[in-house]
Amino acid sequence: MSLIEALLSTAPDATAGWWQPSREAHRVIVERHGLPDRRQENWKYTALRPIEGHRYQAPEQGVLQPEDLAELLDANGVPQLTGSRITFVNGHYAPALSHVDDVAGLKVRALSQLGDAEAASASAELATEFSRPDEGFAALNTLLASDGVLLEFSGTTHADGQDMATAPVVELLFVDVPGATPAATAVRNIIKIGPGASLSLLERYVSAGEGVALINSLSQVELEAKSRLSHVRLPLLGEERSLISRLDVRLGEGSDYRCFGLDLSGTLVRHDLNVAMVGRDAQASLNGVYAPRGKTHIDNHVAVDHRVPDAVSSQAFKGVLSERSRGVFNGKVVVQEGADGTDASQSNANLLLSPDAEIDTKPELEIYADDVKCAHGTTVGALSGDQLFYLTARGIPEVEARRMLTTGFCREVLEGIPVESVRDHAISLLTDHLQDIQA
Amino acid sequence: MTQNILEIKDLHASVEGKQILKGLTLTVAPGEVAAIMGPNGAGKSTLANVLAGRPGYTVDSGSVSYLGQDLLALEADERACAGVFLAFQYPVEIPGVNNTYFLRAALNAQRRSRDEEELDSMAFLKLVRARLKALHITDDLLHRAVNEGFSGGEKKRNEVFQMAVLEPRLAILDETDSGLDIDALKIVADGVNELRSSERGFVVVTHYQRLLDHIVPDTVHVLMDGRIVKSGTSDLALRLEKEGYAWIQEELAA
Repeated sequence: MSLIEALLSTAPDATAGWWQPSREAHRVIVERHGLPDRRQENWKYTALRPIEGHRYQAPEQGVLQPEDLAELLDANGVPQLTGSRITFVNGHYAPALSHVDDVAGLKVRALSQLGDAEAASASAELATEFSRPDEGFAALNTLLASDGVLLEFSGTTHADGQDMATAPVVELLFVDVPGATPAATAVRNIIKIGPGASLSLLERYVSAGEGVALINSLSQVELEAKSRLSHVRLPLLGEERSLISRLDVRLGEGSDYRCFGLDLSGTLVRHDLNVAMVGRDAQASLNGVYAPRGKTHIDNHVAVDHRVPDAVSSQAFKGVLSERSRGVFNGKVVVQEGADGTDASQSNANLLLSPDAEIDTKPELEIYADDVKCAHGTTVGALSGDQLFYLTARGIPEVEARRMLTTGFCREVLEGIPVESVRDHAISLLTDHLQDIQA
Repeated sequence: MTQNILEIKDLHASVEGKQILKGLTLTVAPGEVAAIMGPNGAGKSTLANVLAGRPGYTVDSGSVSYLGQDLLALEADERACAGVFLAFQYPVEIPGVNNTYFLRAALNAQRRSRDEEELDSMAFLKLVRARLKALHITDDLLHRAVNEGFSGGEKKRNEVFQMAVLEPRLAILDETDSGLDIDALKIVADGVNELRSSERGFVVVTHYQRLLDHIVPDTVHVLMDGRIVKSGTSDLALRLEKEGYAWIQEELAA
């Protein structure tokens, strides 16, 4: 059975009527294009082989009790954070594991719970057509998604200069609990931040138990004028779990989007982060750390599309690759005709700690406007001998010095996370992960 | 007779196959500040780096005894733990590693090696505050990443501050005056003077006399072509400042 056949067999039987036409349309697209392969430029360095060869099934729902979840989070070093949490287990909304704080203007619902009338505000996103041959997973997501969140926040208008650290926090928690058979799940999220509102979003994936699982996640995010969103993404994936995620973000005038990803584990992880600057003076800060080990493969594809003048975007990604792991970074910036005054920067720095590890990194700039500031820089290297000597010359043993340098190298990126408890959590995940890596 | 801090005998060392030190002999007694002066390329920085155990510097022959033990048998971190401190000519920037965190890790590594209890962050902070006060420097360096974005003066100040916290028995200052304006130089020199004690030895490597106006050495040694060719007191440094090194070369040729 091919991968596409296996995945198609997991399609849900019955779904909300309002979603059905889009699913059917995407079934046609999927049947036409199939899944991407390495002949497509966007998939050149990421083969699907690691996730092939499994007879995927849609896993059971309702398999996790609140006490199980508490234990699981504890075992994963996930602290209790304040704020709202909406939990999905095996791709299905788990009301007993969710709570939403009473915050004015905050509406958080599962797509599966929407009535026809409410569904109207999600319909445009769900009808978005993914018809390019290289976006087969997005088409498949529309066809297969069992559930997901519709998050709308029109909350208190923030005062200019107010610290993002104090914005309300919402966590999207996706737990996968595969059974005896390999599990495939798909979730779809729609996030809308209203004019002037500020929100902090934590998107977390946690794996329970052993087993093979493939998660297909697609989120569509809309920031309206002068709104702000900080978005932290932490996939705490088990060794045999894979994640194909796509995030489409649209930034309205004067809005501010900051994204931080931390990828440490899993079999195959692919992120497509597509950011469209559609309003003037919008700012996007896109950040990521990846530190794969073993045979983990982590691919970050970032694309920023400057469609209007005077928007600012930055991409800062850092990788530490050890053992036989592989990393891919592709950072694309398009500055459309007329998008003068664009300021786009991009950096990707990598530490290769093993001769068997590999990183493929590629900046892509397409500039069709004249008055533009674009900077990009890529580095691939080993630990600096000068830095290492500086630390050991103070008495720090070499093994510890290597660890300090490795952690310090990528820690910087996470320092920008606005909410302190989330920042500390992300940094401690990174530190613990690098603790026993052979630098 | 008390034990010397440092005894270097007939030291030969090379870098990338090129011989730099060619039979260097030098002794530093407790409480002594020994200045090493010499023209560019004489091997001053090589000496400092060889003593600190920097990789890439090969000792071909000779011996270095530090408080009676074979210094060359120790790794760089072991030398530091034994009480050897190198103030770098070019302190390295380490983004992402906090200065306080780094220094506490260093101090605790040294304490562990001496079977002393590690300091927790409170106790460490107390120690740091006391040292800062003694050196009359502010705490703005503490909260930043190690040397990142520091000015030349701040970097050298950070070196002296680390020295004050780690309390070495042997401090090697490698061209600590390079790149400093006179005010920064004075702060650094005052810090070093504060740390002078009868227990501690200093090797002050410098190209110019001006540092020695502020850190007055007990002995001055001229290093030329990989060897100490002349030794004297601080008067020797003054003569070198006035007349350069040519007269020594002539003396040697005679």
